Amino acid sequence: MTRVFCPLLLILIATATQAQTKVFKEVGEDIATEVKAITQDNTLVGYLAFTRLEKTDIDSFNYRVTIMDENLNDIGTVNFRQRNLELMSVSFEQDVLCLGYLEAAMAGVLTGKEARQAYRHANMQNQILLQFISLSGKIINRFTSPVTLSSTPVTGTGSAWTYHMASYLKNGMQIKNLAGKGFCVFYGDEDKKEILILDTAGKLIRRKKVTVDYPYYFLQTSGTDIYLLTKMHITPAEGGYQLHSYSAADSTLKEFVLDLKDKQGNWLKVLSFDNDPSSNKTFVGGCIINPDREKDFTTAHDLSRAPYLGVFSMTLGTNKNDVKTTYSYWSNENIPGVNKDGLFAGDNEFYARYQTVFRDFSGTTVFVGSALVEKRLLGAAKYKFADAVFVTQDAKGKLILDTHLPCDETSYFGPAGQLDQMDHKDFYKVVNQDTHTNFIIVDDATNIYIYNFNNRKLMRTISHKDGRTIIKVFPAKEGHILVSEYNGKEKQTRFSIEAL
Amino acid sequence: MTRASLLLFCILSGLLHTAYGQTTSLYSYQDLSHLYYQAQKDSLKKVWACPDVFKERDTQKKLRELWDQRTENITDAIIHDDYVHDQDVYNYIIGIVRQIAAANPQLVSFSDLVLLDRSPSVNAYTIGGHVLAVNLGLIVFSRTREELALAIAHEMSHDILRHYENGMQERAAWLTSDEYKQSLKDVLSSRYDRLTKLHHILENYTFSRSRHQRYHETEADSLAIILLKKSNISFDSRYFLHLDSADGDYLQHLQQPLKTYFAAYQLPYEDSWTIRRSHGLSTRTYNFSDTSHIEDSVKTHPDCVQRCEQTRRWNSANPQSTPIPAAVREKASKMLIWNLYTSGTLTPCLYRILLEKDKGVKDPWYDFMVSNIFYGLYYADRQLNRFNAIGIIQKEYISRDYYALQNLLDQMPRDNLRQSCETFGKEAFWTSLQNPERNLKELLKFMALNTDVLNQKQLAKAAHDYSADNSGSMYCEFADNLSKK
Repeated sequence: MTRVFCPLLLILIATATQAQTKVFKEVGEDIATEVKAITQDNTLVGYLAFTRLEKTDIDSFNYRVTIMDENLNDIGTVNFRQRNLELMSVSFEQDVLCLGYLEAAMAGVLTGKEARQAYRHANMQNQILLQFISLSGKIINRFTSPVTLSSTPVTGTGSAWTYHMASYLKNGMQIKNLAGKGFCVFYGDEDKKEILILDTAGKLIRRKKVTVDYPYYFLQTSGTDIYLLTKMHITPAEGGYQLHSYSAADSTLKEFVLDLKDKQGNWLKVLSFDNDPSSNKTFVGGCIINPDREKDFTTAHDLSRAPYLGVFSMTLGTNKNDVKTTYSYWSNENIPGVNKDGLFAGDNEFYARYQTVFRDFSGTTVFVGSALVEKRLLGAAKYKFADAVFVTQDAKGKLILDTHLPCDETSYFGPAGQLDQMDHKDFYKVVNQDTHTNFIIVDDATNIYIYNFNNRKLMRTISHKDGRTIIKVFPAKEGHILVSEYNGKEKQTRFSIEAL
Repeated sequence: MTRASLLLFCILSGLLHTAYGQTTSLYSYQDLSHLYYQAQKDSLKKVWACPDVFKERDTQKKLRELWDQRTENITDAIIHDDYVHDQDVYNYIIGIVRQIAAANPQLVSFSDLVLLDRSPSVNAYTIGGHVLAVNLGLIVFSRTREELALAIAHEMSHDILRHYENGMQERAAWLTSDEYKQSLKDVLSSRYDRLTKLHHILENYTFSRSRHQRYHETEADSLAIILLKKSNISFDSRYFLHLDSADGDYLQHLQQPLKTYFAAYQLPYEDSWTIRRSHGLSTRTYNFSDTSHIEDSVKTHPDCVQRCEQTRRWNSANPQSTPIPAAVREKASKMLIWNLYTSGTLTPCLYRILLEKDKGVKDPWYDFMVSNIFYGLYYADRQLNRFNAIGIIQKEYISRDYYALQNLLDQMPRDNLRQSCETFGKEAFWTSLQNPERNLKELLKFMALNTDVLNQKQLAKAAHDYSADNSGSMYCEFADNLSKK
């Protein structure tokens, strides 16, 4: 949580004496605010500021939730008193906000003393709390379910003499809206993992135990279909994905499970787990892991030795039979210009380090990544990361190198260069549902590139640094980006929500 | 004089009058407060010496702090050009002040410092010490001289009754009182509800202060009516009701559909741009209890309906309604529009121009400002700052037309915005404008339509060149802002 002073205190500090300032400062230090995006159907519809105002007794606090629209304008506040809360997830459906908290005296990172105090005074069980707030500012309902916390000592906080302990929900909590129905909540603690379906009145409709215990869970919904992507710790480290599908329309939450492997049994590496903007169906996209090279995927040399056999995209459906997967193998002769190692041949040969996958409004799957260029000097290989590359896959699996987008090039590095350290490109997807446009933001070392995929046009190039101003961009409401400009001279940050 | 020469004289006078109406220059750069009031600013620091009021050292020290803070606030406002001196508008305002002062010599015996505040909010204020400020927003909003005089007399009354000075003394006494210090200690010594306790301390003080202040407002109303009566300025209690509607500037509707205004400039326009294309919360119907609502207990001013009722019996028998001279109102309005533009809030700036157009203004200066707005918006877009330049206001606080305009400025595609700038560059009205305006167009064109993204040095040089070529023009303020960035 970021600690902030409330405006009331700031005003008063201006007129207060030093002794009085101490009071305002101390009271202000207890105030902490956290901002989260409010989403519906994977689209940002607003923002929420969750503020812990003050301690009200041995284990309770006064809280304030400030709800903002997608333009960061306040639309209302809700005040309430509760035990120690950690806000974990937020979603929105049919004019109701669903906020998911962990309610536990020990939640968060505490010093040994704080943890002992919290433990001594904790007279209630730990639980998850779901709060349902209407757009008239009323808490219309709440739902709780007991949980068992995980605890671990934390190193690197405070001095070497201060013991810190983190208590948390083992697999966290994720909330997604179910269009026209309510909310789907996934959470996992030490003892269990559950999926809960609640309507917008906050009434529990169904709950389903998730029977597998894996380290990672990712929730996605499409209409009334619910998908839980899990990942286990196995070799290959990039594989081990399993898909669990449920239907909220079915009274028993009938489930089908799918190991993410190709027909030859090769594990699939997931890069994106998202919804198709035109059909709203959930899809999974990524790479097919080469079983012969499954341990070698971290260096430039590894990438040039075919750690992947190809790429895949999988469209999900309510039933197992509805799942359609398209595979594209480098070895397939139908893929022109790509050799068996995944090298794109031509004047500018490169290997693609794929980082994300998106679907455009015509249903084409697009794999996006960085081009790793190899150069041989007296037999020794050198590498550099250069352009952003966009590779399209059609329904039959035919791959086409669609675009080379010149971005920031790195200098040449050796074969042992770690890919995740040398490749500075991050990719964000922005969709404009109204104009049916897909944008990709390439956040590179020096510049940010905004690319309109529909027009195959570079819309803007924004320098990260302009004099003493540091610029960062983040996805915002549909078709927009949130630009943060930190002015080092004035020590101020300006936010702007700009159309693409 | 023959009939023919009389006719010629009339035609010439008419033409001259029209030409004057179109070319009346607004204030010059030297009329901005950091230059015009430099001497007054320096003298305020010397003249405003804190009086010895309290025997207790702490309390006197606190009073001095508050006193100095007041001086700093006003001098900072002068430095930051919150005020402007326009001779015509100033003469009109000072005329009212002097009429009231002359008729009430036993009460008003000071030489006023009357400032024109550039703020669009409908307000006048005093900070004591015989300093009176009248916002341009009030001058534009007021319908008659009498209504404006009521607001001015009300503020003069605050000054006569030393409300501001007394307020500072009360505050100094409270902030150094044992009760206050003890209550703060209690906050620190308590483990729980610290913010609530602190809030209560401040709320109790604010409540008590607001009660006083409301009493002060009633007192100032009563004295203002006396001042007006003695000055032979009509009083009508309904003025309070009109002032109560002051927050609704952007709730006014336009007389024409939005596209008519755009068609007049041959600007690209699509109805779809005026409709918010978003699934965000701003488009939903929400009804949170109004968090901006001020509790009745902490309101500083009595309710205007109540004020109207309470003062009805003092209404003048046959109240006069002297319209504010069109030239004064127009100048105030133009200054207001320019100030909104320089402060980078383009939607309210454009909306005010459209409201002026509804009143039938033909002055090409307004066309020049519309052009500036589009250049400014396109430049802001290139600088990733269109969102802030538009200053999106929630639909609940604005009219349907304002909402449509705001959406249009937000959603008009970038290429159409550029096209608008290019269209403005070719408009005929430029020929009726003077060099400073035409040169500003060139500066804006350089900023907005340059194929390269300009760096700070290039901008500063262009701004410097503008200031050098148009020395003394009010538009140099815009160039100043560019250089300072």
